Amino acid sequence: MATATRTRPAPYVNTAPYYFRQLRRFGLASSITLFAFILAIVYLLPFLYMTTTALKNDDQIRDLGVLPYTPAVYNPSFNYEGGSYPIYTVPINRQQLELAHVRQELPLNIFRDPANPEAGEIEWRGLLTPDLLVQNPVYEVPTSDGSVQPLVYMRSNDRRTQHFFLPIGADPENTTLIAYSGSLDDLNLVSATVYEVLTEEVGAAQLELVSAGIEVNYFIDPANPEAGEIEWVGALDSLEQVGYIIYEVPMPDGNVRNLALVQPGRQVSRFIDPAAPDAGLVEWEGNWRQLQQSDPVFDPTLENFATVWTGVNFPRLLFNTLSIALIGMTGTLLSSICVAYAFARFPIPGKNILFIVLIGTIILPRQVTLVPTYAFFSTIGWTGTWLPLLVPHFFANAYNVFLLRQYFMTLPRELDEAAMIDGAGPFRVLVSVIVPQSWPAIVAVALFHIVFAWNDYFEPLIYLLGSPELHPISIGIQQYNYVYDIRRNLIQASSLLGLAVPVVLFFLSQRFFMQGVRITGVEK
Amino acid sequence: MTTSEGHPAKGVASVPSQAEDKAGRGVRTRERRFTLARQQRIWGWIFLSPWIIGFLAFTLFPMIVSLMFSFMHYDQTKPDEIGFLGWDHLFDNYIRLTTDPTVGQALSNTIRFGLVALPLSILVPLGLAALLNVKNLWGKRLLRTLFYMPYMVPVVSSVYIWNGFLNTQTGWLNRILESIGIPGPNWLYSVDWIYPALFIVGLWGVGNAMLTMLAGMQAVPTELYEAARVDGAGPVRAFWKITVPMISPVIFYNLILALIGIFRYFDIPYILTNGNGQPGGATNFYNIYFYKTTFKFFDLGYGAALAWVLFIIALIVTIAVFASARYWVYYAGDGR
Repeated sequence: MATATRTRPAPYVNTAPYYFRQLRRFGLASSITLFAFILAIVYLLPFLYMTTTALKNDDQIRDLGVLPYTPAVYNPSFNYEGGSYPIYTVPINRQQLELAHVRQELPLNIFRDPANPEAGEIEWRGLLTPDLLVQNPVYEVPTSDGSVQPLVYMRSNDRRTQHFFLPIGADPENTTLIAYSGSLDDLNLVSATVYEVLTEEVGAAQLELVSAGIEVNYFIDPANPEAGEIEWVGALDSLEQVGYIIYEVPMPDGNVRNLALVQPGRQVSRFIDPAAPDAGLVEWEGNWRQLQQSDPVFDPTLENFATVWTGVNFPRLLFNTLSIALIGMTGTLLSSICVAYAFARFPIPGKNILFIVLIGTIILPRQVTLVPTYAFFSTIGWTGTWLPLLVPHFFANAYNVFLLRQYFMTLPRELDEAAMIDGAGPFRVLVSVIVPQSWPAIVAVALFHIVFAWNDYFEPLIYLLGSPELHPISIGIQQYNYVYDIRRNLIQASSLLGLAVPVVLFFLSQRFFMQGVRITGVEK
Repeated sequence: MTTSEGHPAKGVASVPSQAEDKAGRGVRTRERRFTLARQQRIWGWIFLSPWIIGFLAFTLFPMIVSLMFSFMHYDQTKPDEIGFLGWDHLFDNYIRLTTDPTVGQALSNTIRFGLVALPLSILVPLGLAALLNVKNLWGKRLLRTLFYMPYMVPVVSSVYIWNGFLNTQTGWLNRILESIGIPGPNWLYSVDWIYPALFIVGLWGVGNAMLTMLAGMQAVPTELYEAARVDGAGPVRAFWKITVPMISPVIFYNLILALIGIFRYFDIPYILTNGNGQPGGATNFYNIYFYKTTFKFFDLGYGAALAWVLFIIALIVTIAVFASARYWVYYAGDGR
């Protein structure tokens, strides 16, 4: 700066005509604004991803489109000897064959009547659907502490490498599932699965499953129907029915035809006309990715939210989080206001040193105090309760004291002095003079605490281990997504539920947030 | 305000000793002043007491105990063996720490991550604040809200959102890259790309720093810019020579917060990987290893030693940053 005086360049004076300057300023403003908004959209793009994914059903997820559109699909069928048979993709000899489904043979299941074991085996032919299930099987499972316990089988992960169990009689809503890695075949079966079925021999009864039958399905090959039926052992539900997405295909003659894409290709794609499936494949030159889907149906679903809502027991998580946040908020407000008042107004010897120590606690890594604090809380039996998450907040916290003290310092002392001359004690001055003038700072502290408590993950994780009925939203969602599903739509629905309250709170009370940030960040 | 003036007046009427005070005025002035100052001091300590008690109970005392733990064999799974390590084996936990390859990995991960994350957590909010401080920008309030809002999103939600967004096959980022002809990397499962992915996830945490910097920029006196313009400085030069030095206290404040954030870094990698350190141990950060030692393996003695080593490192780094402050942090009213 000092050298600038010696070789000072010519002052920047704009000599352009007035209207030109105005135009230039307008152009500059609009291009900067455009840039800023594009940046904001990019920055917030993941929100759009979350929302649209949360609104998709399982089929739409597979389609990878941005919005929850269900494409129009043509399901081919095979007409043979007067019947019309749907076509499925069937894995036979490690090949995926497209075969027409002709008939199904229901599985033959063998049961035993626990009330009358001497009666022998009871046969029942039918599909064992979940609504018939009465009780899951019980296995002897080795647990992490080295013992072997009888546990109720709940579910497996998608690759069936991990299985989750519950203690017998435990409420599945409120108990953490116990994970076991390995094959179910290695475990000792204590009691079998119980189904309620209607048999000819004993009528409707709850029977123990001895062995589940296997469903057999019969197919014919549309290319060679004369070869006869092909047997396939397995559930029809596990197979995927062949379906082709219908596109709007511009033909060389200028017409646009709605054709179902059978063989996609970069240069040449082959289509079938749903209106005339027997006419054979239509060849089209061009990249199929540039084609528009024909009449996709915009079909968002709210079902994911309902699934997650009951799956995580959202009302309970919400209640827990709110309770932890509000009780902690009360504590931190009461204590921090008092402490900030002491720092702002009272002649305490060594006040400056104490204040530096207070601010210094911000820099102290939490880990240093965590181990003994945890050991202490665990010795007095507070782990597995909310107390470790609440009680420390009743003893003030550096950020809040700092924010409030900075605000109190800006208030004129004349008012407190006037009140004191009128005979008000220090407590009276705090309640009647300081607090009524400080609502913006107090509301900011309250909001910051609520957001902090809502987002806190680490402390609930360590203190509420094994007490899922006390979990806040953050832990509940994480456990749900870990134990249950890897379906993207459910995960995004859970994320949306998790962020809804703090984000809405922020939009409703922006002014206080901004003011609070400004006080803590800028003053000194 | 009217109520605040009304209350003390009401309070006066209920003070019984008022008449006595009036009578005694002028006679015992010195004594009264003495007791008033003393009284004020006592009240000060009373109001300060929540923090003093909290500081002793939840900071100072645990720190001392934690130091003791680090010289103890304290494995909760072996309750019979809990006890002092003995003078011959006093530093066993610390010696174990130097030979534990996982600690070395965790430290090097944290440092390598921090060396990039720290500048990013200052430069990104600085850039955004500078953008929002441009005089000609329209819709400032809306933009400010939009850029701050992700800071409000709970970590659990934000990790799952980014996890989906960065997915190699189905994530939007890779599909956007693909559409402009760039093959997207395997963000979350490749050792080379997991840190860039974590930096991207961390972008949603800059809102607070941005807002404080913006507030700092708005407080810079406009005369300075006018003077610079007269001296022929362009906007870029003015930014580096005026804005940045003027808001250097705010930058310093955010630097300290970012530093603490790196020592505490836990939630994002833990939720992303459930603490397994994948891919290839790259997400095995110091705090994650500390968490596992203490709360998964219940080895509190070793955990305390890990915590104290971190504390000493953090202390050295923080002191270094504070010491450097006088070379680059500029306080306008220097006397303060």
